[in-house]
Amino acid sequence: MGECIYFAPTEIGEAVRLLAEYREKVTVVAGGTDLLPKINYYQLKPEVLLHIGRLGLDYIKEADGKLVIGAATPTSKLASNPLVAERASALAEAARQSGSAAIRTTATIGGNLANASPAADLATPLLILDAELLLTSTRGNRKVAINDFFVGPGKTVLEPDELLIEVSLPHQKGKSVFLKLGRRKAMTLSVVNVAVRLEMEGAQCKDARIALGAMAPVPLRCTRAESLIKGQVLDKSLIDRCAAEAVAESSPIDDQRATSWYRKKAGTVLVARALARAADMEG
Amino acid sequence: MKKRGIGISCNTHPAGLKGGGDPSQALIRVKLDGTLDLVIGAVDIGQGCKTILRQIAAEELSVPLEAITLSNFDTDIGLMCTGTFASRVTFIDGNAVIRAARDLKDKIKRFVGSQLGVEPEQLEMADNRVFVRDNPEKGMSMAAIGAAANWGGAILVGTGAFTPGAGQDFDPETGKMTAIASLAFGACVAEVEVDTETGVVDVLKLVQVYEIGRAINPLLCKGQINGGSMMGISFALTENLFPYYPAVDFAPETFSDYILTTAADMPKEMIYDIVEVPHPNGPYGAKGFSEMTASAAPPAILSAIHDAIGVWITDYPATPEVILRALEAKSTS
Repeated sequence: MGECIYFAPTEIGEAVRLLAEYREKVTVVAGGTDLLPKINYYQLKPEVLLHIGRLGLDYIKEADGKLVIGAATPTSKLASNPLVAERASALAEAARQSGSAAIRTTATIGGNLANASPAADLATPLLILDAELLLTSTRGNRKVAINDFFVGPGKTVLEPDELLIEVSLPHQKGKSVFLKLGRRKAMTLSVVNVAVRLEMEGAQCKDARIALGAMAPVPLRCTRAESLIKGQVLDKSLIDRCAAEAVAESSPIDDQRATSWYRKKAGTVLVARALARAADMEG
Repeated sequence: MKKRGIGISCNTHPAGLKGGGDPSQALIRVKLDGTLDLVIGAVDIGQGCKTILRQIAAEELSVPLEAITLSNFDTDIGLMCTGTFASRVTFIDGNAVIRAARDLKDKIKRFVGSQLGVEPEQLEMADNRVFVRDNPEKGMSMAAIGAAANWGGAILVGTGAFTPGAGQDFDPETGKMTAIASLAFGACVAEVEVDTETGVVDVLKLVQVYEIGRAINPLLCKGQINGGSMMGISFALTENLFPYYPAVDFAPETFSDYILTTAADMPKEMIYDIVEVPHPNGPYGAKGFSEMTASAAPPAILSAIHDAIGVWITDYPATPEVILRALEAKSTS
């Protein structure tokens, strides 16, 4: 991979100082599971590698009623942490279904988001849980709603001198569900993934969140589909209409994993199934 | 909706080249400490030939398995072997090893006979030593033989070769000949569940049974069936070099895009069994069979899909998209 400067600071202050100094030349390394294939296949020749695994960003805690997760927390901990299971079951499920045991041990929540793959498994559950991201730099901190974070494939609102350090989730009502369809049962990127959260009062939907992965240039909140069911009494035909609307908001492409045609078909089925499960209407 | 179906396939598989003409050689030598080097040309690609060829040599020479070191790492000085392919190594190299072991046994007996002043025909070989049949106390251990031969300026080497023979028993009038050295037989039953809305196929159960003459190592044979099952499921459902054929778009370049099944995709229930009908020319009756374990599952799976949803899929792999498109074509026709 040629000459490259490697930093592994132990304080966030030092990390952001290096980011401010080297800016676009820096490639941030967390777990490295997305990064190393790119380096190995010569798609990326980093000049400066900044490892953020020693900044103390591996934590899951409750603070001010929020579930707070450090950006360098590995996916395996999201999959097994009781607090995540209780407060963000869709996130726990997405973590369990991502990669393989080896990848989950090293891949991080921050890396999955900052890599900005349209198929990122952890993005859709965080979209339906109204996650807020904490970005820091020598200029100070700023908070960004996850819905505003992704700009395009591989692109986010992160400035060259900014570091994603924390993900926080407000206390949410309702049941959240994550469903994924890959090309095999493990070690697979999503052909399509779906996350749904419904706040129900009997059969009436008080509030709804629907997100689709691998169906658009970014992980996608489907707000038109959400408004279709908000305040409505759910039945099978409304769920089917809502699923069709969610997919109508997306713009999937043909790629090595599936065709646009198949993604629309399977995406519609998955949204309908996730809604039925979240509304306890499976049958 | 999820629909279940069952499919059956049967297959046969020859060992070695059709028509023969694919020889292998083996060499065994006695070392200083009385242990043995077995030299072959066949490469162990994970199928376990290093184990079973040592088993065969140990059986013939009445020595412990641990006494035999197998070497096949040097193609400059290694022996002639046509290769590890066509499920041929057990059958062909196995016969070569038997011949090499019998040759060595004769030479050891002649050497020991000269050392003890007895005729070689009076000697027996058992329990890692050579002794006089009518006076078992009188004899030499393999360690003593190795030391006496090698320090005494002798070398004890046995060699053997085997080939089924190109165009065996060829009749120029009729063209009739023994085209294949051995033929193994197999049967496979697959049970699948098809999700008719997403097109995803789950293999729930796989039963594979093979008639292989004789299992030299039953555990390795079942390992072959297990590995073959995984390759078969992979071939049937996921492996695709040209997903947009005849266009070459999105052809996989690495194993991150060439999708092989993983352990997670294996059926919950797998039943493997072996039937033994010894082959007259095989080593202890063994036939070659390994490759056929990979070819039985795909047709059984496609038949099971037909049983489940009433549609014949005629191209591999039966991906979820292929299933959905077939179901749509069926509902519109």
